[in-house]
Amino acid sequence: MDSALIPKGVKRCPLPVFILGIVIIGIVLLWGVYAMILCWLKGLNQTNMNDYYGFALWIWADLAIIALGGGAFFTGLLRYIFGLDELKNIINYAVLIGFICYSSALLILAIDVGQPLRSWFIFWHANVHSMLTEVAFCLSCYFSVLAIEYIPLILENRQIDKIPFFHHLGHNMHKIMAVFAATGAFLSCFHQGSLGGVAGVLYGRPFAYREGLLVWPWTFFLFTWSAAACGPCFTILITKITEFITGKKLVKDNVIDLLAKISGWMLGSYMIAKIVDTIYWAMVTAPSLGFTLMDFYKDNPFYGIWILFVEIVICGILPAVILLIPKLRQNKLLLYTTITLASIGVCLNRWVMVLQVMAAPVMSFDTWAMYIPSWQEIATTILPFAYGAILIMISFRYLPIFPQEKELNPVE
Amino acid sequence: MYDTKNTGDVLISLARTMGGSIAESFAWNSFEACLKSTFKDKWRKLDKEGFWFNPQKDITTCPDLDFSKLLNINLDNTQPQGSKSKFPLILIPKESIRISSGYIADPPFAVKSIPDTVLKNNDQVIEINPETAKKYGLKNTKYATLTTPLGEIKVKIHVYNGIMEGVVAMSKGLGHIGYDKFISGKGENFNQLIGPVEDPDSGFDVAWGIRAKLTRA
Amino acid sequence: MKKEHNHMKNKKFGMCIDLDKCTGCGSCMVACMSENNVPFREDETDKRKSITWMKVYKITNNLSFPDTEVCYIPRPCMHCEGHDGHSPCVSVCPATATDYDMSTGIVSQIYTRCFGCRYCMGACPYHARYFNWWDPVWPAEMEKYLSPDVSPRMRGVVEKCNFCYPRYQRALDNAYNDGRSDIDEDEYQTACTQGCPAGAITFGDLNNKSHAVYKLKKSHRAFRLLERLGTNPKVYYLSSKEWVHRAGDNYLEGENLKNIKKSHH
Repeated sequence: MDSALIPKGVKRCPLPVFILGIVIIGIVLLWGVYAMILCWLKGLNQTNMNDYYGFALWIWADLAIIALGGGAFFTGLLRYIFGLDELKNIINYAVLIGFICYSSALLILAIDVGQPLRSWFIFWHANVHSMLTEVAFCLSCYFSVLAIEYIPLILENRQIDKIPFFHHLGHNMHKIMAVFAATGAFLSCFHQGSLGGVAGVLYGRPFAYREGLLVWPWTFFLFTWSAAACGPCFTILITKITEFITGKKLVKDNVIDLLAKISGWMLGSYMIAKIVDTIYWAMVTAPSLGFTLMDFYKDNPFYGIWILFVEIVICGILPAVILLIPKLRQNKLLLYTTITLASIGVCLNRWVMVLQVMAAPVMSFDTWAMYIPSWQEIATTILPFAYGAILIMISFRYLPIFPQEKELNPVE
Repeated sequence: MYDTKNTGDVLISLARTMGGSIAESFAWNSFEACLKSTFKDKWRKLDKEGFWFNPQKDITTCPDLDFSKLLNINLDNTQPQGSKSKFPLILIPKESIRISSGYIADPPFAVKSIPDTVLKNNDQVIEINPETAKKYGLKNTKYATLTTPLGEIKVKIHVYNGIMEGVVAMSKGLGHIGYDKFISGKGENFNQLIGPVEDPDSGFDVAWGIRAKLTRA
Repeated sequence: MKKEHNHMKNKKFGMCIDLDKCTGCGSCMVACMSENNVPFREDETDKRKSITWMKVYKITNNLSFPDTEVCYIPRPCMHCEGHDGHSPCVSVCPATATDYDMSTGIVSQIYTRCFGCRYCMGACPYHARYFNWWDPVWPAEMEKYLSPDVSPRMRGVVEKCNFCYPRYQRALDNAYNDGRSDIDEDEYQTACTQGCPAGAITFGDLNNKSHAVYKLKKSHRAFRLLERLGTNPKVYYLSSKEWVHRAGDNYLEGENLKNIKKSHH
């Protein structure tokens, strides 16, 4: 029925199956939209946030999906700036995943603020000292860059490509894409960093506070680094999930292996930096403010030292080692486990840097604050996943996202 | 801001107007002069820092006040109502300056100032020692049933080591059934759990503590 | 007006709260709410969603009965100066909706510019900032009691103690009408200061030698909350108890209070 829209030389599932899939995910999407509308109409009393948890699940989700979406800028950087040509076979998908992550982050932010209609104040009355201002500027600029990177892909649709104007536009855009990729990499480095800075500059919160270089706390650099390390892992993860669902190989092993290897180096070096940072913070920064490391991990039902162990050892050192040893990362099962662990690790890091910061008491007579999100918060956090799945389904069906698909899956 | 007079000064000027022996008894020029002559050497510290205390000193020797008679009262003569075996704990009222315990109920701002260790949602919270909690298997912030010979209510537990073992403290002034939604139905009325007992020294009825028990709800 | 201000010496309004005098009665909280049009809801027992610009904390020396000692700590906004006015909250606000006024030392909050991102709340270690989770609703018969000088806040914005700033503006207006360029100490006092029956709160210009706070802040009983973080608050507390001083900040085991204080001054 829709075969005229499907790229030439590839096979797609029958339309009814496709529509059924869209409908099922669409129900989840609608649930999220309903919760979103509730929040907009009734206000943030729909959430379980409170005056101790000004930042909660949503900000975590923002930070986490932006870190995971970091695959787009880092793969772009490697492909266009460092000239790793093999990566052209996965860059489209990395861009699409990045686009989904960033648009989702912007959507969540629009729900998260108390007066969404005033969101433009952040640009109009910008306070240059605020990390959040930096985040807002870089985030919206980079989102535009991602949109620009995604457009040529849409223009490659069989029917759109027939129109000469779009054909030429797409062709020309491809030619200048390196410029955008470079801009994107620069912007992304900054806002990944400023998201790290959001927590690191809080000198009233010893759990988050870090010293640093000039105006940037160490978390600024750690966030960029970890996004560059774990973002590509997430890109591989989603690629593998897509391959599993579609039942076809879409990207050649050597491409995946190259990206995994680079991730390994990034993750390994990040872990060294992270460990140094943690030790310095635990031995110097926190004690100078009257805290010991264990003060942040006791007297509460959830935040134990296990969380630090899981983040650094299980989701950090372990995947880094596996990714760095060719024999291990070429073992499929190990690779899948590893990229999952790395993705969890970066999410856990963002959780700790948002939620645990809010949970830990600062005044000696204050107590730990625990928080469980409301269903509205959960639904609106799941919403981007549903939206992302639908966008991926549509893009995969109608756009030539994987250049190697034809070669890997010849149609008889 | 306003032209006002201290209560002491009002009394002194009234006495002076009345003349005679009354005026003689209030011979001071002002209330401040009265305070100065009463507190003597303590006045300087009082004036400077606003308070004075000397816990080491026996209060009964304070020159102008004689509390010694009070000390002769044998408190053991007054027993709270209820049998010790059935009701092992003693329930006492806790007067809070943030809760009006008289006929007039707390206005909304005052209700807002009540801590959540006294009132949580509409639940009355009572205070017990950690040892008491352990003994009866009660947990902080969890529900329990508080029973006295005169009544039974559902309460929430607040474990606090500043209270004596075996004592249950409950705020007075909550549990109104009248007034508006900002006070009505909040907490429980302490008075429904106690009865008056006779004070053997004065013969008056007094609202004393009462024996009580706490069970996990 | 602006010109006149410029050649006047900068003020630094602050507070000294005598914890030896504080009885924990909560009058300051009530006075504050009533002065500043702070709304109330039917159920205010979720203290983490209850707006109290002035909040009285109850702390103990952690000893069991009968050795328990209690101290009440009234906590308004600390109006942190931080380093050169970089208070924890002001520097993080993306929309410049909160500001450090160098001429008064007051940390302001512009409700109509705040878009409710709540970053400032995360930045404040004192939990002095509150979010309007709901629209404020007053019982109809109470609307007439509202302070005409104080703007009520809408849902979705952050608010906090501003040292009763409208009272300062009114005092300045009165002085201007009388042809004076400055105000006296007693012309500008916060609602909590006046509401305290024990006279535990003293308010004034910390830079002005003739003001009571100037002397009180130098008392050997004086300390500030979380001084070690470098927030540089303008609310001083006075206590004769060492355990209260110690509760005012975080210390490692065996750290000597006096040595640390010295190194920080």
